[in-house]
Amino acid sequence: MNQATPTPESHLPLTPTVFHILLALADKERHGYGIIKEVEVRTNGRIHIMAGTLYGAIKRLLERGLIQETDDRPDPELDDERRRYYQLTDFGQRVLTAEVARLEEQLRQAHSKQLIPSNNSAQAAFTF
Amino acid sequence: MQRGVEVNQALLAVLSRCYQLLLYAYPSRFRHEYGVWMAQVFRDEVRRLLHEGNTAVLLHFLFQTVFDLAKTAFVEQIEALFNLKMTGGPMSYHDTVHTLSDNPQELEQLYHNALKAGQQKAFEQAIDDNYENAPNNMLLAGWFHRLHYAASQAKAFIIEWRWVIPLAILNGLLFWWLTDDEQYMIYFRGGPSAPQSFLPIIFLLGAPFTALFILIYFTRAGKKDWRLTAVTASLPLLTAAYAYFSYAQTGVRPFQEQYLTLTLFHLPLLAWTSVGVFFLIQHRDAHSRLRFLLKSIEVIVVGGIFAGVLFAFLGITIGLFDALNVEFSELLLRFLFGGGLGFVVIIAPAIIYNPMLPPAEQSFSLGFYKLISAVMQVLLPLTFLVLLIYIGFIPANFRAPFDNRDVLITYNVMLFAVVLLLVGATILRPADSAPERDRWLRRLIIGVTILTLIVSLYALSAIIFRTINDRLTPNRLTFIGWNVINIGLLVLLLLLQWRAQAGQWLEGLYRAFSLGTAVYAIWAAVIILALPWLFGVNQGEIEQLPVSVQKLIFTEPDPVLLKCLASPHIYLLDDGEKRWIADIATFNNRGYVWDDVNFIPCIDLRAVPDGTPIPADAGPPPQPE
Repeated sequence: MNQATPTPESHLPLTPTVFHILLALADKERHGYGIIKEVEVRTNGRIHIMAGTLYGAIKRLLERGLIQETDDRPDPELDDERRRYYQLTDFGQRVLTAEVARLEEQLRQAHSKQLIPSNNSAQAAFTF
Repeated sequence: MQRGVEVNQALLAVLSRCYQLLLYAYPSRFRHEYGVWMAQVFRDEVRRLLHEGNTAVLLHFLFQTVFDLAKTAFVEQIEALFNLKMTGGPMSYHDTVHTLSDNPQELEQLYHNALKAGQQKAFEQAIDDNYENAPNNMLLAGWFHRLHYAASQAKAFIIEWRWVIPLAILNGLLFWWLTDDEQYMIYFRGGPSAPQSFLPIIFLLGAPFTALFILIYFTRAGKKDWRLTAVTASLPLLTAAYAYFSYAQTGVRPFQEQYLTLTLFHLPLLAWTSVGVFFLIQHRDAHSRLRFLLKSIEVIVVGGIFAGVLFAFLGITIGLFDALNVEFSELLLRFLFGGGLGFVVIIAPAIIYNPMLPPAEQSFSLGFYKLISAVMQVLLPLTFLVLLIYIGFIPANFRAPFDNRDVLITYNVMLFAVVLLLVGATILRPADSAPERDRWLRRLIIGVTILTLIVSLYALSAIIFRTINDRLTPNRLTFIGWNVINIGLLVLLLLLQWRAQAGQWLEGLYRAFSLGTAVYAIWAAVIILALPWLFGVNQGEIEQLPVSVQKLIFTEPDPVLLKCLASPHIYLLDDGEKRWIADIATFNNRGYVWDDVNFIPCIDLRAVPDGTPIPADAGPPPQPE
């Protein structure tokens, strides 16, 4: 049976966890703990992904072809144990880009409704 | 400083071990795939937090981890249950075997994974195909011969008679010793009457001790870990001890009797579950569970045949001697019947189950299975037909199970029989079954399931109706639970069939039955452990009542109706109070019969405090004159 090829848009919207995992893999391959730490650093410690949530998400991302395992070891000297690394696939990259575009569009709409204070008005509020 | 590092390392090791144990909450496939990486992530983070030395943050992290684990394990279990794609259908190992044809270690691992997934045949097929294409590959040649020749030698059935016989004799002697009804009896406790015996204590201890001896044998013969034996064997023994010391807590004699009777039925189930845990702890997939279930059915049938033959033989022997006026003493009779039974229940599993093989590799090719399979295939359409006709008759006699508890017992027996039939018809389906025949089998299974579901819901509503109108008893609670579990199982089965794609329908059935066996075991444990505390009575309150009423409370089954000769009024004894039944219509509507009415002196009846009349708006209750 032929199945329609999924488009990046068919995976949207991404959950916050999935978004952060894909974002963590956007610049380089990482292992599980590396993903957790990257997300934690990037969000100033506001988001800490737990192991169960991480690997549940990784399982689904692998099944959907958004990420893949890789044999590369970016930091072999830092790894004292054997680890499994993950990287974005091309399709995963397109899904992430589509999600960012979607978020940008939402942000733009929020701006148009003046829900987000511009730099000037925010400054004025402080000054006043 | 050094001391602190050592403590941290020890703590890290303990926490890591705990986390690894908690990972068993996930489905086995998920755990095998990601468990090691999750444990590593956990270890990394705990190591970092221990190094920082902030206990509060560490505790917060541990709390979050447990919460996350509970949440995600639930999600994964549900997904594993419904996502048939993960394991459904026969897999093809052709390409994987081809890729690994120069990697002995990975190929061995693939074989073990195939066994766990119940895909042994597919693996063998892939080896055959690849070996045919590459006859010079030594690794494939080795595997080909291993699977076709060497493995069949290794699988030769082993019965270690030098262990089976002594253990069976030991169990037989134990049965002989504990069937002495002069010394080892269970007595009802409490109440003003003299203690009354119920059953010999062997009925409580027989199953746990049998499980102990069976486990000792399989540990020895299968070269298993003795620690696992100690844990699994002690569970039914501890449960039996718990039941013995807590049955009096259920209070009144009818409840003690109900609890002990329920325990007698549920304890063997729990004891056999412990044997199952012993075999399945390292093979937790649905396929292995079903294979164990199938072997269990064989053990029960073969054990029953042994016992039947033994008793028939002993009966004829005793008859022969009786013809010459030679009577067997009670001691000898107990030795022959009790000891003989204790002996055969050890022999049966030992000759059925190959201790050297995991459940998925047990032999299922004997004539016995073909016979049972044929019976199941015939019974399935007959059951469908009978249920269809039966449902047609329900409207004409709709109130029967609402008024008569015997009808309800019949329904429950039917429900278990149908579930057993569905299990048998599914897992004993011929491996070479034609597609057309499979289609009909599936339709029949779905048809029987839907009809059984209708009858079961009808029966459950009748039990609940009787419970609301009267009261909750240990028996009713137990059977409501069994009904709910069986109905849940049937609904799950239908749901999985609805979602299953072509070629995957059997997998859905396997999953439903596999889950069902686990829930059965849990409910059996809940029954034994919880009932004494759910139905306890206040001994102090009962002692305030007249002795004649106390005797009734401790000896008569519910409902206890009270009346005295000089008064026309009838009262229901409920929680130490007498509740006036306003008229005969109410009496009949609640399903009471005259046999439930107990006559006591009027002075005693007056001494029982008044409760709410039945119905509640019947006005002030009259006192017996």
